[in-house]
Amino acid sequence: MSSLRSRQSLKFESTQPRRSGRLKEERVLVEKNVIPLPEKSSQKKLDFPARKRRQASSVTHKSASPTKKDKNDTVLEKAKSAFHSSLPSHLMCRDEEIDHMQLFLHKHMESNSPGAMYVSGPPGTGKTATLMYLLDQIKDNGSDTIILNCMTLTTPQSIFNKIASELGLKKGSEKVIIEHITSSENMILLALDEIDQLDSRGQEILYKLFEWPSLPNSCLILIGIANSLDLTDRLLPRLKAHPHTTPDLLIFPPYTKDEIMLILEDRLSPETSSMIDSMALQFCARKVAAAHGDARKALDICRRAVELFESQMKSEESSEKNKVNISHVSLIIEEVYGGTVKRADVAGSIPLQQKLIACSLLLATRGKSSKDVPLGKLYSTYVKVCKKQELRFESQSEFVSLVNMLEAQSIVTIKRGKEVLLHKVSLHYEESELAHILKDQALLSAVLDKGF
Amino acid sequence: MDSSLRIRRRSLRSAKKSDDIDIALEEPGVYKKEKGPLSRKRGRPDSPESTSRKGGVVIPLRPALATVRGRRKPLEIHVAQVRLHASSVPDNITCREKEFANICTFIESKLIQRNGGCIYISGVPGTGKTATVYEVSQHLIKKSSKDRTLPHFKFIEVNGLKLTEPKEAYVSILKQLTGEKASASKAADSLVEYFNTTNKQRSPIVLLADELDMLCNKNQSVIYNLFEWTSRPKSKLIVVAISNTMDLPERVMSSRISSRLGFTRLTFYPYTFNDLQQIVTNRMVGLKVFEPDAVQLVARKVASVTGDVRRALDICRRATEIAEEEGKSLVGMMEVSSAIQELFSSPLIMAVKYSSFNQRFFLQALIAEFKSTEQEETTLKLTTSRMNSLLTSEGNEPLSYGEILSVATTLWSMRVILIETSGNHQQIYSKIRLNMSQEDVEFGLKNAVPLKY
Repeated sequence: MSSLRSRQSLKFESTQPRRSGRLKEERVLVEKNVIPLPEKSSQKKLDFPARKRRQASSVTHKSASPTKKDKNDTVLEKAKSAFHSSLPSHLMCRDEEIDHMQLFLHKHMESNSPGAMYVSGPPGTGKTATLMYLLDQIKDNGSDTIILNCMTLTTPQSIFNKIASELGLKKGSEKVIIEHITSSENMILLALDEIDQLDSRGQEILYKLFEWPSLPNSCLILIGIANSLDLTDRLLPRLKAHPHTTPDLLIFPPYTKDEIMLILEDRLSPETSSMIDSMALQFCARKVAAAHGDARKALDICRRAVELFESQMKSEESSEKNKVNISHVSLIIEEVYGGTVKRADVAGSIPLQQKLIACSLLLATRGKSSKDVPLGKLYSTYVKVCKKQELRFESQSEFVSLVNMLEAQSIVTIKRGKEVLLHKVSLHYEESELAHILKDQALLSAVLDKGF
Repeated sequence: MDSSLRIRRRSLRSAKKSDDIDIALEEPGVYKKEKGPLSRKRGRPDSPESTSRKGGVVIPLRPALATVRGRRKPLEIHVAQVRLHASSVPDNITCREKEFANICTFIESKLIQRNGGCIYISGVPGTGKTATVYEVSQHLIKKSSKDRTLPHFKFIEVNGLKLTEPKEAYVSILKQLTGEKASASKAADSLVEYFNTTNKQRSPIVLLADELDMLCNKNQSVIYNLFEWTSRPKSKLIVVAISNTMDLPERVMSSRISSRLGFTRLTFYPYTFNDLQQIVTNRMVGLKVFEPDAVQLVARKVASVTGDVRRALDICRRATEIAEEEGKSLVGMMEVSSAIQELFSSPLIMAVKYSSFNQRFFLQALIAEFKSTEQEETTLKLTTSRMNSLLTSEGNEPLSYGEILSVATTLWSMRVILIETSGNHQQIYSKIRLNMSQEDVEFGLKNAVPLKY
């Protein structure tokens, strides 16, 4: 199944701007086992194409604002596909990480010595992309490369079968694989993405995998990728017993706002960047960097903003705005993170009976220390409230399904208990927020005033 | 999409539809074929997931079918019943024009750019999520056959509730893509290969993942893979994920999945009273079956509770059936309100209303016990003594313990009350609790049907 191996023709003609605005101290490096960062001159042994530096692309081509609608459309399409979050053709702002990983690979490949490395970092920080890029560079040097995403495995145990079939072995047992890796002439590079999925009882599988490189005559280079920073410390404390089994650690920090800015600008051609206000990109970069530093999210927000702009263009022909600006970006971010508070402005209100239930819940928890109410008790409160307000009330089974609907709209949370009537319900919002969501201050205050 | 134009087109088509119905009723098979392969699952089979889909009362679908088979011209009321069934395909989705345009633009631009992406659609049951997506796909299929710039695409779907296990999704997707049958793990392997290889000839794929929350397994690998494939450079996979929960990506999914899912979200809000009224009226174009006030009542009633269109249609359909039984040709307020009564009334209250003499005394004793102790739980022993004192105070003979026990077990088997026999206690100390609210029991007892002796 060679198709699993990376086949992207990563073109490297475009170059990387110098990482800017990042201090060495920011870098989270675990002190042990960190290979000293290479001097820039020591890169020649492996034939990595020399990386030219480019000045950070400047957004100065704003003057040509397209007037024809057709032209506008194609530019927008281009902008949208530019922001598509698939693997990039070249990496930005990951120079140090690339150097680190490159040095690791280089060291072990050249001297035919086995080794293990654990790469960690939050989602969307370029872990897999870095690996793919480097593997593409060295694919012709005679080593066997296996890339597996552990998420596709049905059980952790099936990893051995997978590896065996990738190596072209007939039997998928562990013994056969060990035999192969201790007798092979070529170096074998095994890259496992989302390695934390191999979590099993006693961490047997992970231990075995990380011990393979330290077997006598082993020729395996193992690279594991996952999100948690301390996977090796937390799950695999025993690895520390032998200094030579301890894997190298490489940590990908979240992107900073300047880095995200550079990534976004890099994606745009002069033509497409004329469609987007640089302030909007700036805003998006700041927002994302403050929350996660996830490049995928930044790209997606920009793409959505372009889409929003497009739909606005379509609806209002004589639109004054001819650029994607901050308001588009902020609307997209609000849509997702604003939650229910925001949605009240966009959508119609929720049905009356559900409002009544939410109000009853507020009434039942008001002035009490515990914020959750058993479902049975909430029902009797609700019935009393309805009677006070001279409104119809629903039967209990109906009531239960209504509460479930409120949960689906993330207005309440239900802690499920043994009996339906003992489920604990609690409200997500304070009184003022609730009034905003329900868009019905009158009803809420009537319920709260009259009580039950 | 120009909505005014769409509406005009719809009304024309709907007017035509009354002729089509004749054929449809005579040969149901033909009708099904005409709907095309996409609409086949629109009227989904009963699922345990929501009360919405269960419909209220299980009633044999068209009692009128017999007369229709007898080559008589179908009555308007029968035509109306067919149209009000959730599985009958509306010519156009009413009141969801904005959402339609939104999904349509998203998929269309992805198709033109020939890359992948995913959109997450949420909304409570019966708000037209799945129907709108089907509508979009049909619209785009039609458009792609005319328009050169829009490539042909494959539309496939998986429904989390139709799968025995999340991993079965791989099997189902592979089968729809290539026709191969394989076990779950084999299918996953082939799909990884399928989406990782570059194949210029392959047409883009639009995958509808319905009931996404049911596709979540323990490590959420199924949804991870779905979204991961969309970001493969050459996969050309567009995933449309549907679920009820609004904040599922934030609440349930791990960060690596929500990072891949991205920000393309769309929420379907419950139908308002106006929407529901328009939907029912649109289905009834060309028929004089409902009084306008009756439709309004249904719309108001449903909009105040759930805004679930399936339920509105259910009530209307039941109302036509009631009218038919009574020999009326026009459905008025009376029929509608009795249909609402039927569909909304709880079976437990009905059980109390029609309970026997001893059961009534037992429930009364139970409530009296709750009120005096101000607790919601009592024992069989206490209830027995209170029930006997109630009986004697009204001039009846007291009952033996055995008799009362049999009353209690009957009520328990109907789940009006719950009995908890804990450990090694004797039966007389077992705890009793009501399975419905006290108000409902009192309401049922007050309106109880008089006993005949």
